[in-house]
Amino acid sequence: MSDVSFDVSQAAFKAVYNRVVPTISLPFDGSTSVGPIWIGVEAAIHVESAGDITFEDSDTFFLKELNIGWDKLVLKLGFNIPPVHIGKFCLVRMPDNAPFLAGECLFEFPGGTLFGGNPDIGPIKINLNAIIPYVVSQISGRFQISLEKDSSFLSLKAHSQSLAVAPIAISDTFGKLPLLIQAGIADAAASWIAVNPQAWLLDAALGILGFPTLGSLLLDLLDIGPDVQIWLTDKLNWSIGIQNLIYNAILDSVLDKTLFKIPDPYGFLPTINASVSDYGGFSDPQPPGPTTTLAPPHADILNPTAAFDANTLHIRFDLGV
Amino acid sequence: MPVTSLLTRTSFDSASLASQAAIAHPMPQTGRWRLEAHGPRGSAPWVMDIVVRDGGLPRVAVDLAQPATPTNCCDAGETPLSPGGMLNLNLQSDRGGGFALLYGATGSDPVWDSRRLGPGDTYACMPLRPGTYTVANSLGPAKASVRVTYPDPRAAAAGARLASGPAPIKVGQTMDPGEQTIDPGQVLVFAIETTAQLTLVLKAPDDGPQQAPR
Repeated sequence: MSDVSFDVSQAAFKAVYNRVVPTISLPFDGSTSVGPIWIGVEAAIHVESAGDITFEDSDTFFLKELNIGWDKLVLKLGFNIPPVHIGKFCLVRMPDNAPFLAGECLFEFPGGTLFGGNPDIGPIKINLNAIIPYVVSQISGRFQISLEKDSSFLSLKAHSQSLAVAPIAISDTFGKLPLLIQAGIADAAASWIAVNPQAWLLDAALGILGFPTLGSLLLDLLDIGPDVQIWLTDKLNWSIGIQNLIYNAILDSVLDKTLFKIPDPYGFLPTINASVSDYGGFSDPQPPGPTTTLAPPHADILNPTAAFDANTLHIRFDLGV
Repeated sequence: MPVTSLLTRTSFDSASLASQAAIAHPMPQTGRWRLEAHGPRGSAPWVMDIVVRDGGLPRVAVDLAQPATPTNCCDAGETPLSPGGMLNLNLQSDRGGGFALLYGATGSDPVWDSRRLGPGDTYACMPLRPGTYTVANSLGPAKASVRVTYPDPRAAAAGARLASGPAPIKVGQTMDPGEQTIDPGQVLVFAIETTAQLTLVLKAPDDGPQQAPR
């Protein structure tokens, strides 16, 4: 049996963990190319609190949900308009009933390429902060506890053993999302046109491509389909891999958390400032003045252990007395 | 969005090939020929040997900017062309200045110079900049006018699509038709019936409807 034993309930442990788990804002970003578009995200989250905590056997506990809050969500889009080949066709062809080279093309126009220089529009930024309340993210993890001694404390720490970030979901945004995307694209088109005053260039290109406006061309390149929410969650989760970005953003902040600190050596009483005359005498050396300081009784912590059972965390150690 | 220079070209000259233009020259007689290709201004000329014989290709396309690679079908370095087939010359470069000289098996003078087109030759070009162009034969009296229409985005919104086929013009003592209208993306095809060097110059640009929605 150990000299000293602490028992910490699951509720108290959760309360303490909730005091140490919140983080400052954690920015992250990522991007990728998908066909003719380049898509990226610029975001920031913070850890708010821990949900349910379940003690497991031995030295691990399972955190069912880590609650995060979104501070920023910006979608970034760039457009690599694919080369459009025009004018490549046969100009002179032998008649089918000709005695030689019947039906053969004798003169083919080489054509030309629009946007052959791998042009870019963007990156444009579409602020999606308005839909942050509708973004659902689920994070869970398994943590291992350990007791670690430094110069003056024995600390109980929780180390991240595994962290699982589920793909994010976007619940009903009440029609805000399509408007945000369309407005963002329209702004991008207007900005591009504003700095490219040769209107005929754009109109000629759009006429050849068969689009009435630059905005309609950009929306076509995005290939959004009938449901913007499905498109956006697909791009964020599977194209950009936002769950990995979230994982990396929060991993360091939850990797090692100190939950309790026990002074080591362990003091039993505080330091006593005493009047010499109140005491019957002192062994040598004698106090030099009318007052003296009595050192506090203390003991080193030996053989510390920390372990869970069903609902309790047990911290035990011996005293070196 | 940097668009390639083809959209900004406002002049063409058959004696100085650049992008968006091509020349076809018929090769009716069998034999061996040497093509001396002059690419973009300042580049070194290069040559290719052409054999006109039965079983050859109906056309041989030559990018004057790119020295030809030998074909695998025949003698090393020789390109076979069928009698009646055509040499197709173009220059895939924004720098102009391309032309070619054709030499026979003997003789030091070229038998054909692409800067001086002749009967049977064909010159084609694709002006995209909307507006009215003046077409002239520098070696003869023939002139014509070509209008490249402005692609009104409102028409595109209504479902209209630009025409894309060739638009022919015969070049003799006159040009027929004397006035031609094309959409951006159509190709002007000049059938040469006399000695010619054709120039196409933008005379009046068309900047389209004002405040068109884009």
